[in-house]
Amino acid sequence: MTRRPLHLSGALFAVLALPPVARQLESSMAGHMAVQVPLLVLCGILAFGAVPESVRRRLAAWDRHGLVGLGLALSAMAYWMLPRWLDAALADPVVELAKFVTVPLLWGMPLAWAWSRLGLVGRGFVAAHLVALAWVLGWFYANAPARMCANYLLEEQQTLGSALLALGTAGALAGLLRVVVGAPRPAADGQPLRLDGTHVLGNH
Amino acid sequence: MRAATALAAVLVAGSATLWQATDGLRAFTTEAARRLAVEAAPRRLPAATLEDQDGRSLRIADYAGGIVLVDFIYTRCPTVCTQMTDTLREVAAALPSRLGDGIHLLSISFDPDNDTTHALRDYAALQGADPTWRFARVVDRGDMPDLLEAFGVVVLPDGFGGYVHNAAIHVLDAEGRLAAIHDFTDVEGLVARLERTS
Repeated sequence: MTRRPLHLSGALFAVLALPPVARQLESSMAGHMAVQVPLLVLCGILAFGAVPESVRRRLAAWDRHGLVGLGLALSAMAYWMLPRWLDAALADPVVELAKFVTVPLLWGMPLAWAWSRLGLVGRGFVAAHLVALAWVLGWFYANAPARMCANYLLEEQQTLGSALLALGTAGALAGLLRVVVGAPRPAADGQPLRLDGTHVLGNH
Repeated sequence: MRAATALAAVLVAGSATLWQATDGLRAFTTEAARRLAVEAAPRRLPAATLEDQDGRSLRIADYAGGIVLVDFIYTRCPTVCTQMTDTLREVAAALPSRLGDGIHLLSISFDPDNDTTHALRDYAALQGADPTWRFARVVDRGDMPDLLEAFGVVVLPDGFGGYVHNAAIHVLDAEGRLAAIHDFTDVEGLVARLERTS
């Protein structure tokens, strides 16, 4: 176990939770949905790097292939992509607190866990799903004639749409690059890397 | 077996949470959610004092016993406010005998700085409004946030001196509660609702 990911996660979380930073990011729909929320997910991914091996082994007994973690992460993702709950996070401090707690814990950490357990096909499915989702949502937000969030202007919604289309395209190009050039540098022991950069746990 | 149980539990819990979070897949936006919420539980409104286009004082409670159709406007609005006004005019035309006698129209400006009683009077004349239709503004600007919040109306500056806001026709019941919210073009739905209350 290493403490470094936890420190990084904690530092990032602390910055994101600073009221001026939160207000600034939430002042635009793109800042809220395409920057703040993904960074909170990253907090969870980084924090997962500090989970001890003994805990991971116990988790593996319940979720050998990472499907439980994936189900949890996708459920949390679906929840926080609902426009009404993004609105509610702006209007209600309790919902805002829930966002800061559940996005790292129920989306980021389970996603990191699932990624560490999934095989090649599973990872490909998740990556393709996320790219497709970013494109579909991006197209929708860029072209929807009506506002989805009560707290953001139509122009901000269109900007978010463009940002999601760009993110999806970047993800697709990164995936394509991996296919063409090959997998990224493996660890010294030949194990592939997790989302948080630490080694994948062997099967037990 | 344990893995299958855990997976089933997560899928059931995730689905139930999303079902709850969307009111049974019926409300994905704040606007849809507020409409369902007031239909399920009519909402009491704050006792703000308003003044109409003729400078007469009024409160929502003054309409007790009648049905009130309320929209939120600002008179410089070039788009959706005019459409809401058109809708109210069409509803009134469909039920002429009840206008001012059981059914009332009230347009509230959320821009009291610019919408003086004079501006409201000009707007009412421009729209060809029935004399019983009152166009009003809050007397105390401090009442505006509570009033908007109670109705669930969100007003944002559009960056060009105007505003963007969620547009709808609000129906107040005989007890002065917010009881229903209709699309701002839903003439048929509003007329049907009012006919049911006769």
